[in-house]
Amino acid sequence: MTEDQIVSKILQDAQGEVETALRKAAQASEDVIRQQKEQALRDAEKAAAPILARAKEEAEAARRQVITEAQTRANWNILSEKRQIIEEALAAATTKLIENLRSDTDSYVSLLSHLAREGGVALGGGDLELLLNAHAARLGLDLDALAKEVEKETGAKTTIHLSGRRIKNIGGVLVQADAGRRTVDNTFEGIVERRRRDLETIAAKLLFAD
Amino acid sequence: MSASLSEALAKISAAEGKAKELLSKADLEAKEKVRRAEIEARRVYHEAYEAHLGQARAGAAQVKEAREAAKAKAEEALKEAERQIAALRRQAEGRFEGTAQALAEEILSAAWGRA
Repeated sequence: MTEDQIVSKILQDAQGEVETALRKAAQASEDVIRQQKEQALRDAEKAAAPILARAKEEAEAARRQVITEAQTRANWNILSEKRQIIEEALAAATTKLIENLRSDTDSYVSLLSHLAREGGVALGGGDLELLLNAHAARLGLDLDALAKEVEKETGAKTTIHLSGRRIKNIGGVLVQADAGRRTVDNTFEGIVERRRRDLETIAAKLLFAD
Repeated sequence: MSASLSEALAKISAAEGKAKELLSKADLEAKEKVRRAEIEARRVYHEAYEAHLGQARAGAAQVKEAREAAKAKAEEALKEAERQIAALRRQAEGRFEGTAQALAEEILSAAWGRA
C-alpha cells in the first residue's frame, strides 16, 4: 500500500464513521420525539379519565334529578286537580242539600231540631243558646219542646233561647253553653269537616274509579 | 530515516489529524442534533398532551348534554300529566251530578246521625 492509499483509507474510514454517527443521532432524535409523543398520550389519557368519569357521574345525577322533579311535579299536578274536583263536588253537594231542604220546610225544621237537640245533649243541657242563619231563624223552632227533650235526656234543667246574632253559613245550627265558652258545631259545614275524610274517599271513588 | 519515509509519515499523520477533526465535528453535530430533538420532543409532548386532554374535555361537555336530553323527557312527563288531567276532567264531568247527589245524601245521613 502506498502512502497515498493509506491516507485515502484513513480519510475514507473517518468519513464512514462520521456518517454512522450522524445517522445514529438522527435515529436517536426521531426516537426521543416519538417516545415523548406516546408518553404524552398516555399521560393525557390518565388525566382525562377522571374528568370523563366525573362528567358522566354529574350528567347522570343531573338527568335523574330533572326527571324525578318533573315526575313529582306531574304527580302533584294530577293530585291537585283531583282535590280541586272533589272540593267542587262537595260544594255542589252542600248546595244541593240545602236547596232540597229549603224546598221541604217540614223536613228542614225536623233536621234543625234534631241537630239542636243533639248539640244540647252533647253539652249536657243547662242554659243553651242557638245560633242560626237568617233563613233558619225565620222557621220558628219550638225551643221549649227542644229544651224539654234535652232535659229529659240529660237530667239537667235546660232552657234554650235563640241568639240575636245571625251566622253566615249554609245551614244547620251552632249550640253554645256557658255564655259561648262551650260550642257544638252542628252546621252543615261543621258536619262536612268532621266527615271530610270519608266524604273525600266516597267522592274519589265515584269520580275517578275505573 | 530516509527523507521519503519521513514525508510519508508526515502525510499519514496529517491525514489522521484531519480524520480526528472530522470525527470531532461530527460528534458535536450529532450532540447538537439530539439536543434539538429533545427540545422538540418537549414541545411535541405538551402539544399532544393538551390536544388529547382538550378532546377529553370536549367529550365531557358532550356527556353533560345528557341534562338537556333529560329536560325533553321531563317536558314529556308534564305533557302526559296534562293529558291525564284533561281525561280526569272529562270523566269527572260525566259523573259530577251523581257524585254531588250521593255526597248530599251522605251529609244528610251524617246530620241525622245515621252515618
